[in-house]
Amino acid sequence: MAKKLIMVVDDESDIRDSIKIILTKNGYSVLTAINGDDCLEKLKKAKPSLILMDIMMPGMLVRDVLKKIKGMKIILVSVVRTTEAEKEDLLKNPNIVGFIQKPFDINELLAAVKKQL
Amino acid sequence: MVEGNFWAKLQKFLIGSIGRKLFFAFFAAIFLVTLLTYSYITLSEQALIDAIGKDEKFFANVIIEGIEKSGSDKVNQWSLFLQRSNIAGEIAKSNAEFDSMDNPLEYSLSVDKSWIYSPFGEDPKIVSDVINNSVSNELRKEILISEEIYGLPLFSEVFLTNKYGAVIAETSKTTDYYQADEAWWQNARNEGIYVSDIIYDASSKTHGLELCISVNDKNGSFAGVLKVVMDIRAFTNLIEDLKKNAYSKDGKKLEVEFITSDGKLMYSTAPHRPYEDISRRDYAQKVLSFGPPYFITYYDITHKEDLFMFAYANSFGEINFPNLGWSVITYRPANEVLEPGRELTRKGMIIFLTVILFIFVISLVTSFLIVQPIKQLKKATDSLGEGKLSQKVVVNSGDELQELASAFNKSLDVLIKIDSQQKQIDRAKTQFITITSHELRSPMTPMKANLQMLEAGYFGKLNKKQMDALEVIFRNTDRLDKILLDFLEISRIEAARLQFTFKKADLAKTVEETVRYMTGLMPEKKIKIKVEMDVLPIVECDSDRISQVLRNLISNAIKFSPKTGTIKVSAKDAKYYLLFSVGDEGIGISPDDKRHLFEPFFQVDKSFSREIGGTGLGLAICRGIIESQNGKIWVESEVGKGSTFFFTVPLVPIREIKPIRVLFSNREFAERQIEAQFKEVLGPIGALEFERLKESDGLSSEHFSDYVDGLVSQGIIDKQNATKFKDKVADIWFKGSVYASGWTESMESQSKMEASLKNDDAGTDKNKLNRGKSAP
Repeated sequence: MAKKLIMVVDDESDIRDSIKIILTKNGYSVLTAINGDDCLEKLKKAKPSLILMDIMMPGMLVRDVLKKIKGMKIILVSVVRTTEAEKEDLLKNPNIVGFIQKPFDINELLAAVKKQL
Repeated sequence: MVEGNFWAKLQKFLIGSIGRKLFFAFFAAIFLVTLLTYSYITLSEQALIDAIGKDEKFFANVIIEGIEKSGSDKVNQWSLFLQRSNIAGEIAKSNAEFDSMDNPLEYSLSVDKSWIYSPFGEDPKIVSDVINNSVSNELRKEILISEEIYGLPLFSEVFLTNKYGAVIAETSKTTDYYQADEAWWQNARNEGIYVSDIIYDASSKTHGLELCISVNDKNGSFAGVLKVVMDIRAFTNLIEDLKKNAYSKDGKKLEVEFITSDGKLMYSTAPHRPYEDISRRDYAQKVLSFGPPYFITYYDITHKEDLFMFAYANSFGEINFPNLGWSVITYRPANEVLEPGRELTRKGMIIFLTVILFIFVISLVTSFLIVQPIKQLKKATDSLGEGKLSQKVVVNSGDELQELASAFNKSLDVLIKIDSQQKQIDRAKTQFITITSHELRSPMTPMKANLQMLEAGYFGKLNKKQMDALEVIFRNTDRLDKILLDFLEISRIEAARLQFTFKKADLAKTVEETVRYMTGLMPEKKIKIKVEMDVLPIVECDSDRISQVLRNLISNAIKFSPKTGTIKVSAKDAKYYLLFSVGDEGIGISPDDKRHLFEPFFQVDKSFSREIGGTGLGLAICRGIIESQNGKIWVESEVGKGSTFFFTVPLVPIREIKPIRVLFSNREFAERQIEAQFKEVLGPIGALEFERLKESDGLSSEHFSDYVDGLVSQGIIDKQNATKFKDKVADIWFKGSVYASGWTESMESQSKMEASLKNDDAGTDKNKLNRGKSAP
């Protein structure tokens, strides 16, 4: 069975790398992108099963990036606490399936990922 | 005493308001003008009356003088007549004839007998002899001449006697021949001249009087008596003439009365009954008292409605005319005389009322112009005192008040600028905390992830020492993250971005759930949590936030409880708000610590708490959450026995969460400054005194002022220092309240709630609620 591909989008390489190690260790294959533009560029070639995306990144606004992604599951990762109202608003986009608060517990991260795959 | 009260009250009334002072000043001015006008009118009328009275007195005098002069003239006329040589010769001849008689008296009486008792038409020859003698002819001639001169028959009857009283000449037959036994004859002989009372002659229907004049011979010895009956028209015509001449021009109704010494009205220019007795009239009694010429006003002389002014003069006699006690009265209707003056007064009154009205309007306008800007300034200053910087003053009076208003506005602009700068700084501070916290949390993510990976053996199994070291890093990473989270919480509270979700909630359930959760967190400690609750109403509130506060307080209670202690959690319905409390049996909190307990980063026992672990921000956040919902939070504690934390949740929730200072509260800053002042003034006991005052009464300006007055009365400090002390503290409050509008607003809303709670008879917590009420 082919490993499921997960795309990690974060501007901080330490976070990107940490998540990549965790997910790889747990049997997923991981593709990384350093910002929204990079993400969209890479999505032309790859078709990940799930995207973990930081909510605040330089470059194209995440809000705009989200509009351009079609038919993908996306979990948003944020260091700022996302309020209930913001969550409700974001969930109107059917692609967004969850939220993870930074700094996360690796078990929480894995549980959230597993839930979607 | 009553007067004293009145003045005290007046003073109190006037001190209260500038408007009242101005009104009083204008009122006083109006009063003075009224007084002046009234005096002027009264004095001018009096002056007019006096002038008229003087005139009338003079006139009465002129008339009485004229009458007596006229009487005297008539006496002179007959005296001169008697001195004519032929008349004097005849008198001397008769006297010589009688002198030669043996008994002239006997002769006289015998003739008298036949004179009186002879039947009508059969008079003895002597009667016709006397009537027709030369002297009698002269007498008749004199009467006719007088009638021609005066234009009326002034003298009706004249006769002459010799020194023995026998008639020697007469114009008509006298009743007696012998006159020496008559009183008038003897009076004339003794006094030279005698004038009788007024007599009425029924036949001629005239009033007259008798002039009796004694005659002397050329040696100066008594020679005889002349008697003339004179019509009093000799006087009354004079009155008419004088009245006509003196008062014909002004046409005023001047009336003149002429009365005798016994109060008989001899004559009046007004219609009258002849010889009426008027002695019982009030004014007549005055006249008959023979005082100096008198003048009286407003006398009802005719017993009618009209008012009269009258004057009188009494006779004083002439050389040839004795004083008979006659009086002349002049009078006139006062209304008619004073009418022109009164017309003037009426016009004056109209002018006066117009002036009063004018002054009144001016006073109103002036008061308005002066008081209005002051009221505006006062309102603006009050508003400023409440920390609102929006109230500008618009005064266009063009005077010092406008300058004052413009100065006020300038100051306000400066304050607004300072305030906006302050708000900017506040915003920047909050932003700084937010950004910093986020920036600090970002590195936490890979750190925590990698630590977990290490622990989970992602990179190979670790030995025990490595695991222990990892545990230390882990624990402190968590702690650091907690601090960062608290910082974020505070920055949200300060920016009022703290998310409140108001929903109808059963807080009893919240309490139970929180307690259950907290109990679950401490499996190792054998601490019991007891819950006491009233039946709580369903209130609209954010139960998560309430739970957060409860968790914090219970967590603190657990930390400070002995190993087998009991924690009491209670919730009560206190009518206007819900009262929650969390009590422990721990080490307690000293008064000094209590004061700083809700300040950020304050920890009761540094060494103890570090062991227990905490950010020092928990209670500050609790206070932020509670106060931003218009609640209050406080603690009661006794060292060694434990502490109980209380907080309230109003039954009516506020919809708008207000920003609250948590990190750098002006109140604390101000309180510390005040404490420093206490120490400066009172020395080492200052800190204790400050604490005592704060605990007992609060630091409101009123309480503080009372407190300082108390110090003065106890002789602890002198008045000068007391004033300085008060000023400095007021200054601290002023700066505090102006610069921290956010804070004062929240204080204001709290004091409003406290005011609403004052009527609460269930208010067991009144005192606690008053605590910390410190804004002046």
